[in-house]
Amino acid sequence: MDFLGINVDKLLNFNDNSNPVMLLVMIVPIIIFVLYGQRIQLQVTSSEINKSLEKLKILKDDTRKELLDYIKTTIKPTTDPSAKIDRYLDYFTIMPVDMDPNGIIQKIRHIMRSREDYTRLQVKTISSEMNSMDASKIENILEAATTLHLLYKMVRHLYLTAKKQNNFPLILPLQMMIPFIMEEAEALKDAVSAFKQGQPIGDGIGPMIVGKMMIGTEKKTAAFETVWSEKEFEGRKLYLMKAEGPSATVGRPGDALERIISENKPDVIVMVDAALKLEGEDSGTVSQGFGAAIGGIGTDRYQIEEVATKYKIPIYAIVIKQSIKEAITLMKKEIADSAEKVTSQIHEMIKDNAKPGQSVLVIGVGNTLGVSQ
Amino acid sequence: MKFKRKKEEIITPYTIEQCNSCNAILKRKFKEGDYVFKKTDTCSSCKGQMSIAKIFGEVSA
Repeated sequence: MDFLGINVDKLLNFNDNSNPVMLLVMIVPIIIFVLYGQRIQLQVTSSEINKSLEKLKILKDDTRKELLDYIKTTIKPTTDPSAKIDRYLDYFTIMPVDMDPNGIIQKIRHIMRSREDYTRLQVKTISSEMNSMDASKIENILEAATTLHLLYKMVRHLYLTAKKQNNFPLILPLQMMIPFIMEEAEALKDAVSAFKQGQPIGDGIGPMIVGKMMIGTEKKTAAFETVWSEKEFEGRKLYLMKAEGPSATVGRPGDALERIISENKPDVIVMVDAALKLEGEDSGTVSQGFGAAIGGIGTDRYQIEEVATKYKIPIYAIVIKQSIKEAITLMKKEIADSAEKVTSQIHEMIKDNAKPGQSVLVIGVGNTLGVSQ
Repeated sequence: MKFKRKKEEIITPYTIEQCNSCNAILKRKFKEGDYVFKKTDTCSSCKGQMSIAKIFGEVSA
């Protein structure tokens, strides 16, 4: 056989004396891989996903157990809360129809608020003697347990469907997503410990910085679980706002900002928040920018942008970079140490963008667990 | 090539107390009930008011 001047027989060392068994050893695997390659790959991939699924189940069950143990030891309810908690773990939220997006933000806000109010109410029914701090901790742990439960169910559904239908392409997106899902699941599991002990989490850096600026001032309620106060800084008036700590809450910054702006009309808004870092960036790195620095589903950001646009108030942002895990677990030293640097940057920003006699609204965005004011 | 399994880090929570008058700093292990800006004891050196300045986690050696 001579093809394009290359003697394939010579190349593969085939001649009349070649062993036919050796020939089979070479050709049979090629045929097997051509015919069954995808199935073999499905088996290998699915066994890896199965391992992750088992780990996800352990994380989900452990979080549920930790939540029940915490309720039983701290709150000491008269009845067993297991059935109520299990029922809550399966609750779902139906997002509004988006075929006509007009007014969808208000609809989403309404649905999310209804869910939050219902959760709060359900948690309080566990025991009448529960204080608001414990209730907020349980709400946050419940949120982590519910998310883990949902992640487990979604991964299991995709895995079993792919296995059942021998559908290799169906398992590919899951294989790509599983490391991210596992990272989030492990972060949620680790977050429970911080919530139980009332320790500040990485996301609480914004409220911690603004909370320090609020020390010694009179705190007033701006909205549900949100406080604000006034302060003078080098001839400028500062309106300081954050969620009411040390409970585990993010407050309602959108509502609070709307109220403060309607009453006081500040000239500049400065928002301080935690932001997800990119791979390779150091935790605790501080960055400045423009626009409303606030996460979540987007309803608060929309509200803040709407009000700021209506009154033509510029919004400046300072963010403290961290990973998803750092944002929801015990605050790392690097992040806590960035507080002084951020405070001086806020002061600089105020001096650069507001003249003496003008006023600035400074908002510390994030979960204020373990951070007072 | 064998990849080394990442060692699990043990993170210990610490509380930093700071005196409002002389800025003396006291680092201790976190106790349940601690929260940032909570007023604690009086300062051992100047009898000023100590309060919690920071709570954070550090990787144990």
